Amino acid sequence: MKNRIFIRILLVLEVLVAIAAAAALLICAWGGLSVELAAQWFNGVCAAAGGQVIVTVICAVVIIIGFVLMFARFSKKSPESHMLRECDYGSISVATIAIEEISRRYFNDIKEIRSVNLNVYAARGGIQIKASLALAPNVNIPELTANVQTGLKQYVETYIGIPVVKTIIVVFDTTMRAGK
Amino acid sequence: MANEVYEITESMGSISYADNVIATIAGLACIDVAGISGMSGGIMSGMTELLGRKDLTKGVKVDLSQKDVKVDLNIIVDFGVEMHKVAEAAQIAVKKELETMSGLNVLCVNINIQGIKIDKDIIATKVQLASGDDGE
Repeated sequence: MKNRIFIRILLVLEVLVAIAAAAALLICAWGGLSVELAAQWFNGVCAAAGGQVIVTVICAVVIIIGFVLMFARFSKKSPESHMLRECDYGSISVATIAIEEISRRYFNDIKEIRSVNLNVYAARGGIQIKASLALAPNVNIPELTANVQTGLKQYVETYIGIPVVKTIIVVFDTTMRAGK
Repeated sequence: MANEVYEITESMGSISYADNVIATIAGLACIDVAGISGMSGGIMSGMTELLGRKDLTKGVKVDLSQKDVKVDLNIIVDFGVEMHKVAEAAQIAVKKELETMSGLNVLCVNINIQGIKIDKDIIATKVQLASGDDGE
């Protein structure tokens, strides 16, 4: 998103320069401003202290922006989503980010889990969720992870309606004492 | 969204629909479904709303051809609802509304759930319950 806004800003700058150049050429072409006078003004700018450097910097920026835009990707990348079902009325799909948000809500209600990193992947017949957990100290890990596996599957299937074929739990820390 | 106009030729003359008309009908029908918090639009829709204009076609993509129409809806649902049921209800509501109002044949209504709106009040209540504070 930020990248697209940045590219849009570059595009606006480049277009403004192009409009200014086109307007100047148009005025010169129709005699509104003599070419000699424009050349004289330009020579004056270049002769002034630091004038050449300023002109060089402006030209370099315009050229660089031009090249950046030439290779920039303008196509809007649609957020990744997973097919829920295909019925008579059409299809229903859910964005990965929505599945992650629902899963995060589930983990927020478990006080033994201090932090969680989630990844959702498409799998044959549904989705696969990978949760990397940081747990509070002195937690019965096998019991908790088993409960989390079944609980998360049920939670996601209830609220989203997409089958969870696999829940991968990775415990990466058991020393975190701070809150989520 | 392209503002193209499609015509249906009838014996008495012709009836034409602009894309935006169909998108507005679909958007309004969708937003009325319980559990749907809003539509998810692009950056232009966001800017339009910032300028104070309500974009009724936000998050709606219409594909019209002759008497058939396909609609894609990008929606945001409320937290805690059963999304698949809400999405199905939206499909039925949009199809019914479009067929009733326009007489077009709705081939499909594709729903894409783009996000979840989490009500701050729900979180605040949970925090209060967890801390045992009943607010007195």
